[in-house]
Amino acid sequence: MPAGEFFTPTDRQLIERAIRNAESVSGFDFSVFVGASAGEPRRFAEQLHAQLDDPVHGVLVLVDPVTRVLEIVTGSAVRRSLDDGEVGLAALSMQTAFAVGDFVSGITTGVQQLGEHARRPQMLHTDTP
Amino acid sequence: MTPRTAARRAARATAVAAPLALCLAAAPAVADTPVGWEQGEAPSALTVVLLLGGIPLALMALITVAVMAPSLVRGDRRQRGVASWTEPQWFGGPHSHSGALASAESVHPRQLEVGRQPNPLSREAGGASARW
Repeated sequence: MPAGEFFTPTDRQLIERAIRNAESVSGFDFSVFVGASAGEPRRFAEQLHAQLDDPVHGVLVLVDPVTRVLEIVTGSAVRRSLDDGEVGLAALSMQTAFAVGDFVSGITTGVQQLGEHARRPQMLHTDTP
Repeated sequence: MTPRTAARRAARATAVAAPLALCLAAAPAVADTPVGWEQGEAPSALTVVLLLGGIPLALMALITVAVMAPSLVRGDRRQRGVASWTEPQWFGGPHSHSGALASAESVHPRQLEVGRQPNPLSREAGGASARW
């Protein structure tokens, strides 16, 4: 089966919408990579994260369906709002969905959860001196 | 025993016994076929079992299949997809313009400068890992 058919057009729209929502809520950039990782998964995920347009404000989610690996990398600025414990919770919910083969639900739920946890605080009275 | 006590006891006994006696005395209803109607054939035991047991069981099986079929089909597709997985899929990865997502560009990781050292700032990167 061609890789393009792993996600249907509807699946892609759902994932993209989840990413858009997470970015608008948190103010950080979210990227999801679904595919085979080369070498050690964590190092590979960090290398991919470093390739992002703005790694400092970026979150990378790597899902390897073949070796069943999930890696989430958060930039240094992201870590101020989204600590590793909260990332771990999101990873746990994603892991549960992936275990039953539901990658779309796992990715969308996880990304939304990360975005909610990294939600930027509402700034009031920024226009008043 | 005073007359009043005796009267009360008698009243209580009557209140209990009367309905009981009526129930016991009632003749069982005998529903027979009215005169002039055809005597219908009594259904066989097998027919009764099939009607009263088979139809509900068949409905239960049908509903179970209807509920489980989509997930079974989806599961198969996922297994086939995972087994033949080769090309990666990016959502919001690099080369995407700000404010707009790359619509599932198939950017192979080996096209990226994987050998390049990560950004020093990203050494402070955090995150989490999981396996399933």
